[in-house]
Amino acid sequence: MSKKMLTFMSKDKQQFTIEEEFAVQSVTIRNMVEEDCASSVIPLPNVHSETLTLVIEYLNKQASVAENDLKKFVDEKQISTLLDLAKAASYLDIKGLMDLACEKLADLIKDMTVEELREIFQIENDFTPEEEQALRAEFPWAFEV
Amino acid sequence: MVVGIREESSDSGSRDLMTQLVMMGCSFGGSRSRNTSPMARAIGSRNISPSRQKTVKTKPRGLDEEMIAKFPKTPHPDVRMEDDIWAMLPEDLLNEILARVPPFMIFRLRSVCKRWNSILQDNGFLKFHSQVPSHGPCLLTFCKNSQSQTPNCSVFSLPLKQWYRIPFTFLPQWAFWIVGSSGGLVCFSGLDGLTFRTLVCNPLTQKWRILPKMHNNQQRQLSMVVYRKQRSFKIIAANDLYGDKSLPTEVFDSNLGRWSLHQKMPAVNFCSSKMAFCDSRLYLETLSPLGLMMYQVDSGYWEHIPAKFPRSLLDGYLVAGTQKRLFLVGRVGLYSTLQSMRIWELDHSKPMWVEVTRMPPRFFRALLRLSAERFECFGQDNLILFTSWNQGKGLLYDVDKKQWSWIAGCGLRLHNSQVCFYEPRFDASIY
Repeated sequence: MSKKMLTFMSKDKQQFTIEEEFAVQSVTIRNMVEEDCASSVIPLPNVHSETLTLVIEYLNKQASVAENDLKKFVDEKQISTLLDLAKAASYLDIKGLMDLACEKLADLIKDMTVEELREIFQIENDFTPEEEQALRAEFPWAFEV
Repeated sequence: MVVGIREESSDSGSRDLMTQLVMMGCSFGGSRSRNTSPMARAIGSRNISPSRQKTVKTKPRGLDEEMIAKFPKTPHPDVRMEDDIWAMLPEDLLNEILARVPPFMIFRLRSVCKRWNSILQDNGFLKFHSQVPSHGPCLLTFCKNSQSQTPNCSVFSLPLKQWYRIPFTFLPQWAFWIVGSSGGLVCFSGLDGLTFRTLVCNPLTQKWRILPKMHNNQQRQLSMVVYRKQRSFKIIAANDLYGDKSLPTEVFDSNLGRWSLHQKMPAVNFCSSKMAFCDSRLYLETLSPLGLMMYQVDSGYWEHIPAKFPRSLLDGYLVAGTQKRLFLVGRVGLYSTLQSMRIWELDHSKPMWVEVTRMPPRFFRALLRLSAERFECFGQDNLILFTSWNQGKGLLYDVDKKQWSWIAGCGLRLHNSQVCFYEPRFDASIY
Protein backbone atom coordinates (compact mmCIF):
# COMPACT_ATOMS: atom_id res chain seq x y z
CA MET A 1 0.00 0.00 0.00
CA SER A 2 1.58 3.23 -1.08
CA LYS A 3 1.66 6.12 1.35
CA LYS A 4 -0.48 9.09 0.65
CA MET A 5 1.60 11.97 -0.65
CA LEU A 6 0.85 15.64 -0.70
CA THR A 7 2.29 18.21 -3.05
CA PHE A 8 3.18 21.75 -2.09
CA MET A 9 4.02 24.52 -4.47
CA SER A 10 6.31 27.23 -3.26
CA LYS A 11 6.10 30.88 -4.08
CA ASP A 12 8.61 30.47 -6.87
CA LYS A 13 6.57 27.68 -8.41
CA GLN A 14 8.66 24.75 -7.28
CA GLN A 15 6.85 21.61 -6.28
CA PHE A 16 7.64 19.46 -3.28
CA THR A 17 6.14 16.17 -2.21
CA ILE A 18 5.80 14.95 1.33
CA GLU A 19 4.06 12.06 2.99
CA GLU A 20 0.73 13.13 4.34
CA GLU A 21 1.44 11.60 7.73
CA PHE A 22 4.37 13.98 8.22
CA ALA A 23 2.69 16.92 6.57
CA VAL A 24 -0.21 16.96 8.99
CA GLN A 25 2.05 18.14 11.79
CA SER A 26 1.13 21.43 10.24
CA VAL A 27 -2.27 22.24 11.66
CA THR A 28 -3.05 24.32 8.61
CA ILE A 29 -2.41 21.36 6.32
CA ARG A 30 -4.22 19.03 8.65
CA ASN A 31 -7.32 21.18 8.45
CA MET A 32 -7.12 21.22 4.68
CA VAL A 33 -6.82 17.44 4.56
CA GLU A 34 -9.80 17.06 6.82
CA GLU A 35 -11.83 19.41 4.74
CA ASP A 36 -10.75 17.60 1.61
CA CYS A 37 -8.99 20.55 0.00
CA ALA A 38 -5.64 18.85 -0.23
CA SER A 39 -6.07 16.64 -3.23
CA SER A 40 -4.39 18.74 -5.87
CA VAL A 41 -1.30 20.84 -5.52
CA ILE A 42 -1.34 23.06 -2.43
CA PRO A 43 -0.02 26.51 -3.23
CA LEU A 44 2.04 28.19 -0.55
CA PRO A 45 2.62 31.61 -2.03
CA ASN A 46 4.09 32.92 1.21
CA VAL A 47 6.91 30.45 1.33
CA HIS A 48 9.95 30.47 -0.90
CA SER A 49 11.39 27.16 -2.08
CA GLU A 50 14.55 27.53 -0.01
CA THR A 51 12.50 27.86 3.15
CA LEU A 52 10.05 25.19 2.09
CA THR A 53 12.91 22.75 1.61
CA LEU A 54 13.90 23.30 5.22
CA VAL A 55 10.33 23.04 6.45
CA ILE A 56 9.86 19.73 4.70
CA GLU A 57 13.19 18.53 6.04
CA TYR A 58 11.97 19.39 9.52
CA LEU A 59 8.63 17.66 9.07
CA ASN A 60 10.32 14.53 7.85
CA LYS A 61 12.93 14.52 10.58
CA GLN A 62 10.59 15.33 13.42
CA ALA A 63 9.10 11.89 13.62
CA SER A 64 12.33 9.96 13.80
CA VAL A 65 14.93 12.16 15.41
CA ALA A 66 15.50 12.78 19.13
CA GLU A 67 14.75 16.20 20.52
CA ASN A 68 18.36 17.09 21.15
CA ASP A 69 19.35 16.29 17.60
CA LEU A 70 16.38 18.18 16.31
CA LYS A 71 17.69 21.28 18.04
CA LYS A 72 20.76 21.12 15.84
CA PHE A 73 18.49 21.74 12.92
CA VAL A 74 18.52 25.45 13.67
CA ASP A 75 22.24 25.70 14.34
CA GLU A 76 24.44 27.50 11.85
CA LYS A 77 21.48 29.14 10.23
CA GLN A 78 21.47 32.78 9.30
CA ILE A 79 19.09 35.13 11.00
CA SER A 80 17.21 35.73 7.75
CA THR A 81 16.75 31.98 7.31
CA LEU A 82 15.54 31.60 10.87
CA LEU A 83 13.06 34.41 10.44
CA ASP A 84 11.75 32.87 7.24
CA LEU A 85 11.44 29.54 9.00
CA ALA A 86 9.60 31.13 11.88
CA LYS A 87 7.21 32.90 9.56
CA ALA A 88 6.59 29.75 7.55
CA ALA A 89 6.04 27.80 10.76
CA SER A 90 3.59 30.41 11.92
CA TYR A 91 1.78 30.41 8.58
CA LEU A 92 1.60 26.63 8.49
CA ASP A 93 0.99 26.38 12.23
CA ILE A 94 3.80 23.96 13.06
CA LYS A 95 4.38 24.53 16.75
CA GLY A 96 7.59 22.52 17.09
CA LEU A 97 9.35 24.36 14.30
CA MET A 98 8.08 27.71 15.54
CA ASP A 99 9.48 26.98 19.00
CA LEU A 100 12.84 25.93 17.61
CA ALA A 101 13.23 28.92 15.32
CA CYS A 102 12.05 31.46 17.90
CA GLU A 103 14.27 30.01 20.60
CA LYS A 104 17.28 30.27 18.36
CA LEU A 105 16.39 33.79 17.37
CA ALA A 106 15.92 34.78 21.00
CA ASP A 107 19.25 33.20 21.76
CA LEU A 108 20.92 35.32 19.09
CA ILE A 109 19.10 38.48 20.08
CA LYS A 110 20.06 38.31 23.72
CA ASP A 111 23.72 38.76 22.92
CA MET A 112 23.24 41.76 20.71
CA THR A 113 23.58 45.32 21.80
CA VAL A 114 20.79 47.76 21.29
CA GLU A 115 22.56 49.32 18.34
CA GLU A 116 23.06 45.97 16.64
CA LEU A 117 19.42 45.10 17.11
CA ARG A 118 18.35 48.32 15.49
CA GLU A 119 20.60 47.58 12.55
CA ILE A 120 19.47 44.01 12.11
CA PHE A 121 15.79 44.76 12.41
CA GLN A 122 16.12 48.07 10.61
CA ILE A 123 14.45 49.88 13.42
CA GLU A 124 14.59 53.60 13.67
CA ASN A 125 15.45 54.84 17.12
CA ASP A 126 12.47 57.01 17.92
CA PHE A 127 13.59 57.94 21.41
CA THR A 128 14.98 61.37 22.05
CA PRO A 129 18.44 61.28 23.59
CA GLU A 130 16.92 62.35 26.91
CA GLU A 131 14.32 59.59 26.80
CA GLU A 132 16.90 56.97 25.94
CA GLN A 133 19.19 58.20 28.66
CA ALA A 134 16.37 58.05 31.19
CA LEU A 135 15.47 54.52 30.15
CA ARG A 136 19.04 53.32 30.45
CA ALA A 137 19.35 55.02 33.81
CA GLU A 138 16.35 53.09 35.03
CA PHE A 139 18.13 49.78 34.59
CA PRO A 140 21.84 50.51 34.55
CA TRP A 141 22.62 46.96 35.57
CA ALA A 142 21.11 45.61 32.36
CA PHE A 143 23.69 47.49 30.34
CA GLU A 144 26.65 46.59 32.45
CA VAL A 145 27.24 43.35 30.63
CA MET B 1 16.50 35.34 -2.09
CA VAL B 2 13.41 37.39 -2.11
CA VAL B 3 10.66 36.66 0.25
CA GLY B 4 7.67 38.84 0.17
CA ILE B 5 4.29 39.05 -1.31
CA ARG B 6 4.02 40.08 -4.89
CA GLU B 7 0.88 40.26 -6.84
CA GLU B 8 1.10 37.85 -9.70
CA SER B 9 -1.46 36.22 -11.87
CA SER B 10 -1.94 32.63 -11.02
CA ASP B 11 -2.21 29.91 -13.65
CA SER B 12 -5.18 28.17 -12.14
CA GLY B 13 -8.42 29.95 -12.46
CA SER B 14 -9.62 29.36 -8.93
CA ARG B 15 -8.08 31.08 -5.95
CA ASP B 16 -8.34 29.09 -2.78
CA LEU B 17 -8.87 30.70 0.58
CA MET B 18 -5.22 30.80 1.51
CA THR B 19 -4.16 32.59 -1.62
CA GLN B 20 -6.94 35.07 -1.17
CA LEU B 21 -5.85 35.87 2.34
CA VAL B 22 -2.34 36.32 1.12
CA MET B 23 -3.41 38.65 -1.64
CA MET B 24 -5.20 40.79 0.87
CA GLY B 25 -1.75 41.67 2.09
CA CYS B 26 -1.85 40.25 5.55
CA SER B 27 0.58 37.63 6.65
CA PHE B 28 -0.80 35.22 9.16
CA GLY B 29 -1.11 36.81 12.50
CA GLY B 30 -1.97 40.38 11.87
CA SER B 31 -0.26 43.17 10.09
CA ARG B 32 1.51 46.15 11.47
CA SER B 33 3.47 48.74 9.67
CA ARG B 34 7.03 48.56 10.75
CA ASN B 35 8.95 51.32 12.35
CA THR B 36 11.19 52.26 9.49
CA SER B 37 12.15 55.48 7.94
CA PRO B 38 11.98 55.88 4.18
CA MET B 39 15.75 56.12 4.18
CA ALA B 40 16.12 52.65 5.64
CA ARG B 41 13.97 51.21 2.92
CA ALA B 42 15.94 52.97 0.27
CA ILE B 43 19.12 51.30 1.42
CA GLY B 44 17.76 47.94 0.33
CA SER B 45 20.03 45.00 0.78
CA ARG B 46 23.14 45.64 2.76
CA ASN B 47 26.06 43.42 3.28
CA ILE B 48 27.47 43.26 6.77
CA SER B 49 30.50 41.08 6.56
CA PRO B 50 32.17 39.59 9.60
CA SER B 51 35.24 41.61 8.76
CA ARG B 52 33.66 44.57 10.47
CA GLN B 53 35.14 43.45 13.71
CA LYS B 54 35.87 46.80 15.21
CA THR B 55 34.08 48.82 17.81
CA VAL B 56 31.89 51.48 16.42
CA LYS B 57 31.17 54.56 18.42
CA THR B 58 27.69 55.87 18.19
CA LYS B 59 27.40 59.47 17.20
CA PRO B 60 27.75 61.76 20.15
CA ARG B 61 24.25 62.93 20.80
CA GLY B 62 24.75 63.98 24.33
CA LEU B 63 24.99 60.41 25.55
CA ASP B 64 27.76 58.93 27.70
CA GLU B 65 30.83 57.35 26.32
CA GLU B 66 29.56 54.03 27.60
CA MET B 67 27.35 53.75 24.57
CA ILE B 68 29.77 51.99 22.36
CA ALA B 69 28.44 49.50 19.92
CA LYS B 70 30.52 46.42 19.98
CA PHE B 71 30.32 43.41 17.80
CA PRO B 72 30.01 40.17 19.72
CA LYS B 73 32.90 37.77 20.04
CA THR B 74 31.53 35.29 17.53
CA PRO B 75 31.22 36.99 14.16
CA HIS B 76 27.74 37.14 12.80
CA PRO B 77 27.17 35.21 9.64
CA ASP B 78 26.56 37.39 6.61
CA VAL B 79 23.17 38.88 7.02
CA ARG B 80 21.72 40.30 3.91
CA MET B 81 19.18 42.88 4.77
CA GLU B 82 16.33 42.19 2.51
CA ASP B 83 13.84 44.92 2.96
CA ASP B 84 10.89 42.66 2.52
CA ILE B 85 11.82 40.14 5.21
CA TRP B 86 11.76 42.64 7.95
CA ALA B 87 8.84 44.51 6.56
CA MET B 88 6.62 41.52 7.10
CA LEU B 89 7.66 40.64 10.63
CA PRO B 90 4.25 40.20 12.21
CA GLU B 91 3.64 41.37 15.74
CA ASP B 92 2.89 37.98 17.17
CA LEU B 93 6.06 36.53 15.70
CA LEU B 94 8.04 39.30 17.38
CA ASN B 95 6.23 38.44 20.60
CA GLU B 96 7.13 34.78 20.23
CA ILE B 97 10.78 35.64 19.82
CA LEU B 98 10.92 38.23 22.60
CA ALA B 99 9.09 35.92 24.98
CA ARG B 100 11.97 33.50 24.78
CA VAL B 101 14.60 36.04 25.70
CA PRO B 102 15.90 35.50 29.25
CA PRO B 103 14.16 37.81 31.73
CA PHE B 104 17.15 40.01 32.52
CA MET B 105 17.80 40.77 28.90
CA ILE B 106 14.32 42.11 28.44
CA PHE B 107 15.23 45.33 30.17
CA ARG B 108 17.93 46.15 27.71
CA LEU B 109 15.67 45.47 24.76
CA ARG B 110 13.25 48.10 25.94
CA SER B 111 15.58 50.84 24.78
CA VAL B 112 15.60 49.65 21.17
CA CYS B 113 12.59 51.68 20.16
CA LYS B 114 9.24 52.85 21.46
CA ARG B 115 7.36 49.93 19.95
CA TRP B 116 9.57 47.38 21.65
CA ASN B 117 9.43 49.38 24.88
CA SER B 118 5.67 49.20 24.88
CA ILE B 119 5.48 45.51 23.91
CA LEU B 120 7.95 44.52 26.62
CA GLN B 121 5.97 46.25 29.35
CA ASP B 122 2.60 45.03 28.27
CA ASN B 123 0.99 42.80 30.89
CA GLY B 124 -0.20 40.37 28.28
CA PHE B 125 3.32 39.97 26.98
CA LEU B 126 4.82 39.53 30.45
CA LYS B 127 2.29 36.86 31.22
CA PHE B 128 3.14 35.13 27.95
CA HIS B 129 6.83 35.43 28.78
CA SER B 130 6.27 33.78 32.15
CA GLN B 131 4.62 30.83 30.49
CA VAL B 132 7.60 30.00 28.33
CA PRO B 133 9.71 27.33 30.04
CA SER B 134 12.31 28.79 32.34
CA HIS B 135 15.83 29.39 31.09
CA GLY B 136 17.33 27.55 33.96
CA PRO B 137 18.14 28.10 37.59
CA CYS B 138 19.62 31.31 38.95
CA LEU B 139 21.36 32.01 42.19
CA LEU B 140 20.64 35.02 44.31
CA THR B 141 23.41 36.22 46.60
CA PHE B 142 22.81 38.69 49.35
CA CYS B 143 25.52 40.22 51.45
CA LYS B 144 24.92 42.67 54.23
CA ASN B 145 27.41 42.96 56.98
CA SER B 146 25.70 45.34 59.30
CA GLN B 147 22.47 47.23 59.64
CA SER B 148 23.81 50.38 58.11
CA GLN B 149 25.48 48.86 55.11
CA THR B 150 23.72 48.91 51.74
CA PRO B 151 23.29 45.32 50.72
CA ASN B 152 25.20 43.82 47.88
CA CYS B 153 22.85 41.71 45.80
CA SER B 154 23.52 39.84 42.63
CA VAL B 155 21.82 37.23 40.58
CA PHE B 156 23.80 34.64 38.70
CA SER B 157 22.20 32.84 35.80
CA LEU B 158 23.59 29.32 35.61
CA PRO B 159 22.84 28.64 31.96
CA LEU B 160 23.99 32.07 30.80
CA LYS B 161 26.94 32.14 33.18
CA GLN B 162 26.33 35.78 33.85
CA TRP B 163 25.97 38.03 36.88
CA TYR B 164 23.32 40.69 37.12
CA ARG B 165 23.43 43.26 39.86
CA ILE B 166 19.76 43.85 40.25
CA PRO B 167 19.09 46.74 42.57
CA PHE B 168 17.47 46.03 45.90
CA THR B 169 17.37 49.66 46.92
CA PHE B 170 13.83 49.29 48.11
CA LEU B 171 14.95 47.03 50.96
CA PRO B 172 14.56 48.69 54.35
CA GLN B 173 17.58 48.82 56.63
CA TRP B 174 16.33 46.06 58.83
CA ALA B 175 16.14 43.42 56.08
CA PHE B 176 19.05 41.25 57.05
CA TRP B 177 18.34 37.64 56.22
CA ILE B 178 17.04 35.91 53.14
CA VAL B 179 14.31 33.54 54.21
CA GLY B 180 14.19 31.95 50.82
CA SER B 181 12.98 32.24 47.30
CA SER B 182 10.33 30.36 45.48
CA GLY B 183 8.29 30.89 42.35
CA GLY B 184 9.96 34.22 41.59
CA LEU B 185 9.39 35.77 45.01
CA VAL B 186 12.09 36.45 47.57
CA CYS B 187 11.41 36.78 51.27
CA PHE B 188 13.58 38.75 53.68
CA SER B 189 13.43 39.01 57.45
CA GLY B 190 15.06 41.17 60.02
CA LEU B 191 14.74 43.05 63.25
CA ASP B 192 13.21 46.47 62.96
CA GLY B 193 14.23 47.76 66.34
CA LEU B 194 12.77 45.08 68.55
CA THR B 195 10.15 43.90 66.12
CA PHE B 196 10.79 40.88 63.97
CA ARG B 197 9.51 41.65 60.49
CA THR B 198 9.24 40.02 57.11
CA LEU B 199 9.16 41.36 53.59
CA VAL B 200 8.27 39.80 50.27
CA CYS B 201 9.41 41.08 46.90
CA ASN B 202 9.74 40.27 43.22
CA PRO B 203 13.22 41.49 42.24
CA LEU B 204 12.39 41.52 38.57
CA THR B 205 9.43 43.85 38.82
CA GLN B 206 10.92 45.63 41.84
CA LYS B 207 7.61 45.33 43.66
CA TRP B 208 7.78 44.70 47.35
CA ARG B 209 5.66 44.60 50.44
CA ILE B 210 6.23 44.44 54.18
CA LEU B 211 4.09 41.79 55.80
CA PRO B 212 2.08 42.38 58.95
CA LYS B 213 3.65 41.48 62.28
CA MET B 214 3.35 38.00 63.66
CA HIS B 215 1.32 37.27 66.74
CA ASN B 216 4.41 36.50 68.76
CA ASN B 217 7.28 38.85 68.31
CA GLN B 218 10.15 36.41 68.21
CA GLN B 219 12.95 35.77 65.78
CA ARG B 220 11.84 32.63 64.04
CA GLN B 221 13.01 30.18 61.45
CA LEU B 222 10.91 30.93 58.41
CA SER B 223 10.08 29.04 55.31
CA MET B 224 8.31 30.36 52.23
CA VAL B 225 6.25 28.41 49.77
CA VAL B 226 4.67 29.82 46.63
CA TYR B 227 1.65 28.31 44.97
CA ARG B 228 2.11 29.48 41.40
CA LYS B 229 -1.16 28.26 39.98
CA GLN B 230 -3.22 29.78 42.76
CA ARG B 231 -1.02 32.90 42.70
CA SER B 232 -0.61 32.87 46.44
CA PHE B 233 2.09 32.16 48.96
CA LYS B 234 2.52 31.13 52.55
CA ILE B 235 5.20 31.80 55.11
CA ILE B 236 5.63 29.36 57.92
CA ALA B 237 7.26 30.31 61.19
CA ALA B 238 8.19 27.14 62.94
CA ASN B 239 10.72 27.18 65.70
CA ASP B 240 12.12 30.21 67.36
CA LEU B 241 15.83 30.68 67.10
CA TYR B 242 16.68 31.00 70.74
CA GLY B 243 14.20 28.32 71.46
CA ASP B 244 13.80 27.86 75.12
CA LYS B 245 10.08 28.12 74.98
CA SER B 246 8.15 26.66 72.16
CA LEU B 247 5.73 28.95 70.41
CA PRO B 248 2.71 28.12 68.33
CA THR B 249 3.51 27.71 64.68
CA GLU B 250 2.39 30.73 62.72
CA VAL B 251 1.47 30.74 59.08
CA PHE B 252 0.99 33.76 56.85
CA ASP B 253 -1.44 33.16 54.04
CA SER B 254 -1.35 35.74 51.26
CA ASN B 255 -4.97 34.96 50.45
CA LEU B 256 -6.02 36.03 53.94
CA GLY B 257 -3.40 38.71 54.36
CA ARG B 258 -2.63 37.76 57.94
CA TRP B 259 -0.86 35.34 60.21
CA SER B 260 -2.74 32.54 61.89
CA LEU B 261 -1.79 30.45 64.88
CA HIS B 262 -1.42 26.72 64.79
CA GLN B 263 -0.17 23.84 66.85
CA LYS B 264 3.01 24.26 68.79
CA MET B 265 5.80 22.03 67.66
CA PRO B 266 5.93 19.11 70.08
CA ALA B 267 8.57 19.48 72.71
CA VAL B 268 12.07 19.05 71.43
CA ASN B 269 15.08 20.56 72.97
CA PHE B 270 16.98 21.85 70.02
CA CYS B 271 16.13 22.34 66.43
CA SER B 272 18.58 22.79 63.70
CA SER B 273 18.02 25.51 61.18
CA LYS B 274 17.64 22.91 58.50
CA MET B 275 14.24 22.91 56.93
CA ALA B 276 12.78 21.94 53.62
CA PHE B 277 9.34 22.31 52.15
CA CYS B 278 7.85 19.83 49.74
CA ASP B 279 4.43 18.51 48.91
CA SER B 280 2.65 20.92 51.26
CA ARG B 281 4.77 19.71 54.15
CA LEU B 282 7.49 21.44 56.05
CA TYR B 283 10.24 19.14 57.20
CA LEU B 284 12.43 20.18 60.03
CA GLU B 285 15.43 18.53 61.56
CA THR B 286 15.64 18.28 65.30
CA LEU B 287 18.99 17.94 66.95
CA SER B 288 18.22 16.64 70.36
CA PRO B 289 17.17 14.02 69.69
CA LEU B 290 18.29 13.81 66.07
CA GLY B 291 15.13 13.32 64.12
CA LEU B 292 12.67 14.57 61.60
CA MET B 293 9.55 16.55 62.27
CA MET B 294 6.94 17.28 59.67
CA TYR B 295 4.38 20.05 59.62
CA GLN B 296 1.29 19.63 57.50
CA VAL B 297 0.36 23.09 56.28
CA ASP B 298 -3.14 22.11 55.29
CA SER B 299 -4.13 20.60 58.61
CA GLY B 300 -1.85 22.67 60.82
CA TYR B 301 -0.42 19.73 62.71
CA TRP B 302 3.01 18.41 63.48
CA GLU B 303 4.01 14.83 63.16
CA HIS B 304 7.18 13.00 64.02
CA ILE B 305 8.69 10.98 61.19
CA PRO B 306 10.48 8.02 62.73
CA ALA B 307 13.18 7.71 60.08
CA LYS B 308 16.50 6.83 61.61
CA PHE B 309 19.27 9.19 60.69
CA PRO B 310 22.56 7.79 59.45
CA ARG B 311 25.16 7.18 62.09
CA SER B 312 28.06 9.58 62.44
CA LEU B 313 26.24 12.24 60.48
CA LEU B 314 28.09 15.46 61.02
CA ASP B 315 25.73 17.89 59.40
CA GLY B 316 22.35 17.20 57.97
CA TYR B 317 20.94 19.50 55.37
CA LEU B 318 17.39 18.94 54.27
CA VAL B 319 16.71 19.64 50.62
CA ALA B 320 13.37 19.43 48.89
CA GLY B 321 13.21 17.97 45.43
CA THR B 322 10.42 17.90 42.92
CA GLN B 323 7.06 16.49 43.88
CA LYS B 324 7.42 14.56 47.10
CA ARG B 325 11.15 13.99 47.10
CA LEU B 326 13.09 14.91 50.20
CA PHE B 327 16.87 14.67 50.46
CA LEU B 328 19.25 14.62 53.37
CA VAL B 329 22.76 15.81 52.68
CA GLY B 330 25.74 15.71 54.95
CA ARG B 331 29.16 14.47 55.87
CA VAL B 332 29.64 11.16 57.50
CA GLY B 333 32.68 9.96 59.34
CA LEU B 334 34.32 11.32 62.39
CA TYR B 335 37.86 11.02 61.12
CA SER B 336 38.82 13.44 58.41
CA THR B 337 40.54 10.85 56.29
CA LEU B 338 37.47 8.69 56.13
CA GLN B 339 34.91 11.37 55.57
CA SER B 340 32.54 11.41 52.68
CA MET B 341 29.66 13.61 51.64
CA ARG B 342 26.52 11.67 51.02
CA ILE B 343 23.00 12.23 49.82
CA TRP B 344 20.04 10.23 51.03
CA GLU B 345 16.45 10.29 49.93
CA LEU B 346 13.52 9.70 52.21
CA ASP B 347 11.48 6.66 51.41
CA HIS B 348 8.18 7.92 52.74
CA SER B 349 6.56 4.53 52.91
CA LYS B 350 8.98 2.93 55.37
CA PRO B 351 10.04 5.68 56.44
CA MET B 352 13.72 5.38 55.90
CA TRP B 353 16.68 7.31 54.55
CA VAL B 354 18.08 5.56 51.51
CA GLU B 355 21.49 6.50 50.23
CA VAL B 356 21.34 8.01 46.75
CA THR B 357 24.92 8.89 46.04
CA ARG B 358 28.25 9.97 47.47
CA MET B 359 30.28 12.94 46.38
CA PRO B 360 33.31 11.68 44.45
CA PRO B 361 36.44 12.21 46.56
CA ARG B 362 38.08 14.59 44.10
CA PHE B 363 35.15 16.96 44.33
CA PHE B 364 35.01 16.60 48.07
CA ARG B 365 38.68 17.46 48.43
CA ALA B 366 38.38 20.39 46.04
CA LEU B 367 35.31 21.76 47.76
CA LEU B 368 36.45 21.41 51.32
CA ARG B 369 40.16 21.69 51.66
CA LEU B 370 39.93 21.10 55.33
CA SER B 371 37.45 18.70 56.71
CA ALA B 372 36.19 21.24 59.14
CA GLU B 373 35.56 23.83 56.49
CA ARG B 374 32.12 25.29 56.40
CA PHE B 375 29.86 24.74 53.52
CA GLU B 376 26.28 25.46 52.69
CA CYS B 377 23.90 23.19 50.92
CA PHE B 378 20.54 23.94 49.43
CA GLY B 379 18.54 22.90 46.47
CA GLN B 380 15.57 23.15 44.21
CA ASP B 381 14.00 20.99 41.50
CA ASN B 382 16.32 18.06 42.05
CA LEU B 383 19.41 20.22 41.90
CA ILE B 384 21.58 20.32 44.99
CA LEU B 385 24.16 23.04 45.34
CA PHE B 386 27.18 22.97 47.63
CA THR B 387 28.94 26.21 48.31
CA SER B 388 32.20 26.50 50.13
CA TRP B 389 32.39 29.55 52.32
CA ASN B 390 36.08 30.10 52.19
CA GLN B 391 36.77 29.26 48.62
CA GLY B 392 33.73 30.70 47.00
CA LYS B 393 33.18 27.67 44.83
CA GLY B 394 29.90 26.12 43.83
CA LEU B 395 29.36 22.45 43.14
CA LEU B 396 26.13 21.29 41.63
CA TYR B 397 24.61 17.82 41.75
CA ASP B 398 21.81 16.98 39.35
CA VAL B 399 19.86 14.18 40.99
CA ASP B 400 18.04 13.17 37.82
CA LYS B 401 21.10 13.15 35.58
CA LYS B 402 23.36 11.90 38.36
CA GLN B 403 25.93 14.49 37.40
CA TRP B 404 28.35 16.52 39.45
CA SER B 405 29.60 19.77 38.00
CA TRP B 406 31.27 22.96 39.10
CA ILE B 407 29.34 26.11 38.51
CA ALA B 408 31.24 27.77 35.76
CA GLY B 409 31.91 31.40 35.32
CA CYS B 410 30.71 32.64 38.62
CA GLY B 411 33.61 33.00 41.03
CA LEU B 412 31.03 32.89 43.73
CA ARG B 413 31.42 35.83 46.01
CA LEU B 414 30.46 33.91 49.01
CA HIS B 415 32.32 35.40 51.85
CA ASN B 416 29.60 36.38 54.21
CA SER B 417 26.90 36.03 51.61
CA GLN B 418 23.61 34.27 51.83
CA VAL B 419 22.79 32.34 48.71
CA CYS B 420 19.65 30.71 47.44
CA PHE B 421 18.15 29.52 44.20
CA TYR B 422 15.99 32.08 42.47
CA GLU B 423 13.71 31.82 39.51
CA PRO B 424 13.18 35.19 37.85
CA ARG B 425 9.56 35.55 36.88
CA PHE B 426 7.57 38.55 35.78
CA ASP B 427 4.30 37.09 36.92
CA ALA B 428 5.17 36.43 40.57
CA SER B 429 2.74 38.50 42.56
CA ILE B 430 3.46 39.83 46.02
CA TYR B 431 -0.22 39.84 46.91
